[in-house]
Amino acid sequence: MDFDEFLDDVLVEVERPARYIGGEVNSSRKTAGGVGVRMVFAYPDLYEIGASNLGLQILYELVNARDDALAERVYLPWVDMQERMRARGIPLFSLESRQAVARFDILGITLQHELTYTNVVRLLDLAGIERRAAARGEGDILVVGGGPGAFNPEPVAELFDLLVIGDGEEAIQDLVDLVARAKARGLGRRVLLEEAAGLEGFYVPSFYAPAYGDDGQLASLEPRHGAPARIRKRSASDLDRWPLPARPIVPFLETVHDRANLEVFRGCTRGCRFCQAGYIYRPVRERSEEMLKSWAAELVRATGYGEISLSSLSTADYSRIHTLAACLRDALAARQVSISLPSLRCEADSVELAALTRKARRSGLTFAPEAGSQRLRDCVNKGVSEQDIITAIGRAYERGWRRIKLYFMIGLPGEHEGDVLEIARLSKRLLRSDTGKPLPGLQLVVSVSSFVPKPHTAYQWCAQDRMGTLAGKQQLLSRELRGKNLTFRWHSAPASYLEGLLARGDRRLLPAIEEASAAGCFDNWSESFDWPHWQGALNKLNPGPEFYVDRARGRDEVFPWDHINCGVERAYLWEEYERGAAGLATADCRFAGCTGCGACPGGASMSRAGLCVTGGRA
Amino acid sequence: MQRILLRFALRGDLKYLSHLEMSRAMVRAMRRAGLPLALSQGFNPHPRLSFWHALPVGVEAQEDLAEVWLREPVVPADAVAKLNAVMPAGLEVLEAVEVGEDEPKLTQRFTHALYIIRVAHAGQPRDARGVAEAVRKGFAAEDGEILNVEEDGQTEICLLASHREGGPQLRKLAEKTADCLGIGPESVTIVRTGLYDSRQSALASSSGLKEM
Repeated sequence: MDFDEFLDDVLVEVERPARYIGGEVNSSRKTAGGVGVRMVFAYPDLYEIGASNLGLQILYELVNARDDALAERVYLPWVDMQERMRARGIPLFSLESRQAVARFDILGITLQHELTYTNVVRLLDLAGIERRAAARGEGDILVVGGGPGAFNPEPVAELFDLLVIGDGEEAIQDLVDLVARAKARGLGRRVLLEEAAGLEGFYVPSFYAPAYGDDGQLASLEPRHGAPARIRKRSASDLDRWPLPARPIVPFLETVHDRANLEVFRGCTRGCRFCQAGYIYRPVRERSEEMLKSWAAELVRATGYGEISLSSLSTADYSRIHTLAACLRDALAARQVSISLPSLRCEADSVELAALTRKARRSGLTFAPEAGSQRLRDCVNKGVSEQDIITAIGRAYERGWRRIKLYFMIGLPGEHEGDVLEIARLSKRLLRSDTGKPLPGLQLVVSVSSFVPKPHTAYQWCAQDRMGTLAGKQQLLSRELRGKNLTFRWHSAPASYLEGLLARGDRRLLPAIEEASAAGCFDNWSESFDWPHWQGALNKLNPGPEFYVDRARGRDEVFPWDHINCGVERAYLWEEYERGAAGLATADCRFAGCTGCGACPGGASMSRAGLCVTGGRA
Repeated sequence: MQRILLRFALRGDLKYLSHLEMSRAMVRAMRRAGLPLALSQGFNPHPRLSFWHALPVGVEAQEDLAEVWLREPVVPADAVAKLNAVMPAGLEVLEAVEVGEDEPKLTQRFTHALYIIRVAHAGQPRDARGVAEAVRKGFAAEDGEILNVEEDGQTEICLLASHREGGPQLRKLAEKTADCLGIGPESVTIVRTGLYDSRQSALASSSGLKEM
């Protein structure tokens, strides 16, 4: 099949043809000759979303650094391109060498968001790969999943031959070694999977058989063929050993994070009870300041980006953030490169950091108080007082910012109508200074999303608000949040409902995902999210969607993700759930000693001071 | 402040970049090359860089033009070498020339362009004269002057266009050509071969092609 000719015929007709041409600066030009293992990484969404993903950039560079392997990329083509591919019988092909995806040895798909699950099915269909791992045979491509979605992969587990749980830096080496060995020795698929199941962090879904009780709940997920009962996530303990990509690909298109990405640390122990990332990426692992400085310089040289983002789950928490930011700012100013800090806390100190690095105030600042009332902020362990927020915004105003975005959630466990109204009251209060004076010219954008309980969090037992309840709260806010300096934004309730269903789902959801995928995909794009069709697919579920979404679970219920061990103990999460209901704070172990979550290897906590403290909650 | 004119080519798959994507690729190459870019004044400073009229998506350019302002003077030939070492495949700087600060804008200095409209017709050669007639009949005066039509396995139409008033709609021109010849638009490609300061210099450059 001539993919070049196909592209020449259709590229002038489709939206944003640069999505499909490859050839970006720093993309791989390795050719298959003599190379052992050929891997293709897929981000199941549009190029401009997927190309920004740091995890895939890291893995791409690691695989291509090996002599015995190569890595290429593919993204899900937009609908206009999909139609043309189908009409011409063109299968999905890689960006670099324009080879059919199905002809690679490994397809690595990242699961970043539940609303991309229909895209995964579509991607396999376009590639001409059997959807179910069980239907693939000897010589077929190995479909491997990873990313945060792998912490409860069950709704899509049967699409994957194996999934890698946790950090990919070390696991990708194991995977490539294994496939290289299997190819060299002619190992069969079954033997390869049995070997994989013995590796830390590797999950082979076909080796686990679920059994369901009469109540619809999962009764057990029995391992077979010697697979472990629980799969412990991989965690790269020393990130300095695993450098960031020195030469990341520079997309032609404007992508969602159109800048160089310097990951300063991984993990977060602030302990927000709703936050999955805060639990599954523990413990906190910082990169050293010296390494970060040299990477930053190298990144700028290799990419030509005009902006470098210091990324993490909460960048202001980096232990030497002020010196790092000031030092990078001075070093990069000569090259006219600016620094941005995407994740700030609602604290004056964070505003000072932003002021230090950003000369232009045009981009605005974003704060996430999460809840409007102090009571509910305490319940979720946000650790921010109303005074902190008022001071932070007052300081931002003094420093020249006029456009500030606030993130809140509705539907948090234990929320009353009064808590919802507090979002409006607090937002209006923030239009005035500490002393109550109006702040002329300040524009507040109040963005309110709907809370979705996630696996491996303190709220994994909770019922999600019904769509009608959420819509009522949104209406309440749209009445209350009016004013010339206030803009109110909210998320689609059906999309949150679907996200909740898939987040805590099990293998019985796959037929519905497949049916929805046949009608459309790109559920995360409001213009293509087809709720009526999803409803049709969900009506056939047994148990129905309400079983998954708006049902509170008992303390000891077996969860579909219990066999995935993220390090944080289930007993700890339950304790956190109860502390949350009682409004009790849990301190960050970096500042106040180990809280006994279980994530640190060997049961020791790695506190900021470098001390190892063993033990539990005081 | 030094003002440098860059003649560059945009070839192969990079013809599918939008004008904005091409200009961003250019700025990033300049940063990788370590050129001392001058920034514009104002609230949101950005590199001072200007281009000739935007090239439509799908049109290749053997010659396109950009001008960049530098904080410190560089040797133009060095800039060419440094840039080409870091350019994505398909973007190539052909020449750099220092330009006086008071010179008018690029679009005022370069007003005419030559294009080749290529028509592939799978193994069915056409009569060049017939093609020329069909195309001449179909084209309007504002589409440009057809200087030459050649048949050599594919049809090549040489077109001289004035860009004083913006220039012809090249994408529409490709469709029009396809209509004139009764074929699908995917068989028509357009390449810009050069930019000129007048009709005369464009004509002179195309001489050697015989008038038909």
